[in-house]
Amino acid sequence: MAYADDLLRYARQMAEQYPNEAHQPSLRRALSSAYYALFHLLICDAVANCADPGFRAALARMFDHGPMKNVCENSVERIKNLFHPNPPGEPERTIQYHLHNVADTFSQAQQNRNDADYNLLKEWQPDQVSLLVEPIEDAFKSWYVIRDDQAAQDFLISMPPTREKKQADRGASPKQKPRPTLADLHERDLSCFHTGVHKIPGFDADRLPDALRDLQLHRSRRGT
Amino acid sequence: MGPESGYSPHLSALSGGRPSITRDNEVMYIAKAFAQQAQFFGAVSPLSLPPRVVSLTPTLGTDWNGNEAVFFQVVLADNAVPRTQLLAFTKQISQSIVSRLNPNEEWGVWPYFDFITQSEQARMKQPTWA
Repeated sequence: MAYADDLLRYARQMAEQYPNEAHQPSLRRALSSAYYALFHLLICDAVANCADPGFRAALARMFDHGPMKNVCENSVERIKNLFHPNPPGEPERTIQYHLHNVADTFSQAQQNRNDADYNLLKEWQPDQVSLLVEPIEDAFKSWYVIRDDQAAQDFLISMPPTREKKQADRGASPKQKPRPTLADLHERDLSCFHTGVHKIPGFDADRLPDALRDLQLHRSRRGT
Repeated sequence: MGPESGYSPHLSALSGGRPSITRDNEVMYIAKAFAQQAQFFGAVSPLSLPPRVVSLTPTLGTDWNGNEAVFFQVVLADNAVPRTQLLAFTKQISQSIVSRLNPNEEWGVWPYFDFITQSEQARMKQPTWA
């Protein structure tokens, strides 16, 4: 049995380990393992065409959670639009239905995995976790139906991050410039802190980082 | 020292002072659901769901990736449907919400769903020392 199947079975065991108790470690492991089962299932199929085991392993490391999630979300939207207003005919309809199931489940499962692993404020319950593992089991079934189809192969090919996709992602969600840290400030002339910047002749406040200006204002308000 | 010499773009914007000339001028994208929260929650509340759904609570936030998202918590009545039909039932609910609300295209937020039974939700509200 493949690793992904083992991992999914382990997730189910963890989810049902304590049916009458909200045993957080088991439930969190269940969610995390279930997500990773789907993650490895897709990657395993994506690199399966590569004959050399060493190269296959290196290729598998190229896959990343965020870009895979983006591909899944794009696929979900694309398929949703494909079905409206008129769904495609068979067998396209069945294939896209299963692909939608896989992509949507992957996106949901990844968020749950992050909550399970990092959000300790969230408390999980046995039935709740069971209801989150079950769609992943269902996504496995969907994937086994379509894994050899061209649409599924195209879906896999679109998953590894490329330079173009990274640039597109950066363009789609421009990140704010990080605010300067103390380490940044240390690289600059800190004498203004001691002499008072407003007293320096010809001082150009726009050339200072925002943090410094905020600090200057703060100090002026405090009268220091 | 007055505010002019200790210029802060944040305070300037609040006080109606001169516009920021040092911040980057990239357009900041805010999802419609965040910008028009009242309308968004107003669009969620009339969604008719099966009687076995006890409540539907949307929460706006960001997912782990930093993208704007809406987290739906759906509370189901205990034994709402037979266990074997529960997955299909939950999928039906989430698909119904997505198709009617169109959260991504219409409101700019990606939907996440969390289903929990009434008894489990009640258990969660108990303090840990109980």
